[in-house]
Amino acid sequence: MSITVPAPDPALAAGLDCPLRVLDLDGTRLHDPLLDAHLGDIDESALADLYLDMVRVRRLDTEAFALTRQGHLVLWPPLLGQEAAQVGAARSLEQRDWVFGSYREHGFALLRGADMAEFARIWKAYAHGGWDPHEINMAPSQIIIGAQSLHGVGYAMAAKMDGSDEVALTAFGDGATSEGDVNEALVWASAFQAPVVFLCQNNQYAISEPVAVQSGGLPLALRPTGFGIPSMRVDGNDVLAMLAAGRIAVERARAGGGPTFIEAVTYRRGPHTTTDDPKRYRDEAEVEAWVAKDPIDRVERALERMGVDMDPVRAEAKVRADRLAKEFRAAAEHAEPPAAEEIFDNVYAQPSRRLERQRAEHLAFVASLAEESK
Amino acid sequence: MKTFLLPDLGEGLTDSEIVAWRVKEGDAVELNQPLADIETAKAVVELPSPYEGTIAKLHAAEGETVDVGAPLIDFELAGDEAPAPSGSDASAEDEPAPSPEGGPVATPADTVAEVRDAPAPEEKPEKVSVLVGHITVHGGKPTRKRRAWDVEPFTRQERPSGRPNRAMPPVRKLAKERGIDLQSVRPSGRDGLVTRADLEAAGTASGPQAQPQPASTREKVTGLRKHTAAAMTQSALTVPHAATFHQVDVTETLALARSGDASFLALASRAILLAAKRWPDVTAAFHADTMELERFAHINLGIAVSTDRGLVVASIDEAESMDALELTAAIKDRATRAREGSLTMAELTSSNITISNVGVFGVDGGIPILNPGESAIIALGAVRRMPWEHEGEIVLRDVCTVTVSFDHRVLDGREAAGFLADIAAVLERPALALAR
Repeated sequence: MSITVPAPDPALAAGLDCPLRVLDLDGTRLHDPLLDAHLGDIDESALADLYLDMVRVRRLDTEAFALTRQGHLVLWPPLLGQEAAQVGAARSLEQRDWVFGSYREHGFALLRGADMAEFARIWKAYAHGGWDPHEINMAPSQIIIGAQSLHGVGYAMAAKMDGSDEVALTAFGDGATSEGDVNEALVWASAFQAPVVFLCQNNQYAISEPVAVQSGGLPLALRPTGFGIPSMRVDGNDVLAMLAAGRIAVERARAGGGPTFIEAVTYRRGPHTTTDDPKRYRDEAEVEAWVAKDPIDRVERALERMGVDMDPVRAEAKVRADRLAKEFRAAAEHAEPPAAEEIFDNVYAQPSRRLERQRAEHLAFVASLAEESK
Repeated sequence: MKTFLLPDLGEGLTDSEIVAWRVKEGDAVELNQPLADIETAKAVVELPSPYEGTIAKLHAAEGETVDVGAPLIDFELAGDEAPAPSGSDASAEDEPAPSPEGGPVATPADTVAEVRDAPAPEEKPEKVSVLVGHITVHGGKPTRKRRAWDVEPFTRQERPSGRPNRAMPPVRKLAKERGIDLQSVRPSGRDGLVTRADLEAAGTASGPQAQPQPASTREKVTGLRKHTAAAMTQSALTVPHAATFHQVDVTETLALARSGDASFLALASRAILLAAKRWPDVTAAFHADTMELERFAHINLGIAVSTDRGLVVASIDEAESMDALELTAAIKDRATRAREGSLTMAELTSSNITISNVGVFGVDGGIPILNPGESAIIALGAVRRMPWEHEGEIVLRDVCTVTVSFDHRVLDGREAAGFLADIAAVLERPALALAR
């Protein structure tokens, strides 16, 4: 018996042979008929804004990394190298849309407007959620790998039932595509034609496992086609390609076209988290090869080619990034631990009698200690 | 002056080693400039500078291990007379203002005002919560809270009859600090709970004192040790053991092992298997309950393996059909899997004769107890170079003591000695095996 892999349906997948790209490594603007149709409004100033976004996201990431080494945060999953994938996708959404991300979605959190002081508290292990999800339409960081894809699909199904035109975007990594949750989410999204965007940031490693181990050597973008979900394989280090792909997916969802899957082909240049040593499982030369594909350098070159004077843009980017870093550092250094009784506060929307009794008992116990120690 | 204490660079680490300094005393450094390479239990990481300023003192040398929470670097900060934590020390004015269309960035004045009011973090014990474990730093000494998997050997304590005393965690902690045995305290709380006041009363009655060092401790015997204890007791008490020894010149066998790919133990096993074929009752099983002798079609050779968890006997089934190379591989496989704990129940129970290589521990021999259900066990002692009579001369030869313990219900001295002599004959002249 022989089994052959069927050729992907070209109507369902784009970019399988070569990830879709509109900005070359040297900044040349390439033309792609699929993506170009959604980039008509992007002029120099709009591209410079994306540049500023990416520089701020990177600065937040590197500052948080340093703060972890300096003992002010306890853990940080860095996104270095993935700025374009997150910024491009985040900027394709409206504020009324919702984001359901993993623990590495710092770019989304920043651009959605998460309070950085609250954000710092999460990574100091002082807060479980950090920001108010309803204020910025972004669910708390999900630690359980891939679980957020089900939350995103559920939200999208509800939006459709309510007759609203909101779209949910769920972001996860290559490793998450091996999880049952993500596969279940794809089934539900397909069955209910939910207005959801699956953003898979393929950063090449599920902690230490190279993606090839789990992908059968096939592009991850091929997988959703088996669920009847169209997909695009995009150069995740090309912010314009990511913006255009995001817009295509969001517009499809909003118009009732159902789910779309985007595989952003990118690379995690840092460790999985600040407690991991990537030198044990990958070659430094591989990292260097991806430094050459840096998402921010590429936009700088593109802007220069468009005739933009980069000096003031870089200066502006530095001021904003430094300000953000300083604000974040101050918040991280001075965050105070929450009172222990806060553990009772966020379990149910409305307090239950049982929890209130436990809370009262806890407070009485703490008070009794204070009295006894007098 | 700011003293930077070594933080927990992983999750729940207690110390780290300074691999290399990238700066020296007197160097001016920027915020987040790499200062050192530090090796934790998990990775070698870069330490970025927590301050902008000058390195006043490095507290540890390269190669030194520093406790989490111990001083690592002293910094001289610009305008040191009014030190402020980094991030708020530089004033906002000396930076260019961002352009008005700047994104959702809080106004700097608010941030700085808030920061100045906050107490400096160095003034109180620095508490760093981590995902697993928990470190609290007091006066530079980290004390790690115990985790569930930090098990201590079980120590039995004499308990009064009835229900043991219980107490809330802070009370238990206080009792431990004062060396008071909770079980010696009269509980006054609800449901027989020991309260803080009970401890105070106990403390004033007898005075705080540390618990005396016990003269002995008792540990629950579990797992493999318990199994071995039961098996050995059964075997020793129900089987009439006898033993016989023989010193064997194994020079030729050892030379064969050194010149080829077959191990000495595998060659010795071949010798045992050849001898066992001539004396088939050495692999028989005596059933006392039915007064039957069970003889087996094949020789399942048990290999005694000492593991971290205890002693196991792993069977190489139908070993008589294997050559020395196959036996070498099989022995290696059983030993590896015994240590991994991945042997099957069948492999742990199917042997009908056992070999114990006690020589690896450097001893000449001993009288092994039979593996329950078997009639013979062979102990191989250490191979020693010793003066030996060889072809009429006294020369140095490789000599090994071989012991056979046997079930005297099944075998008599004649069979056991014959079996042992046959083993010795092959070990002394391995070429003999060809002839048999």
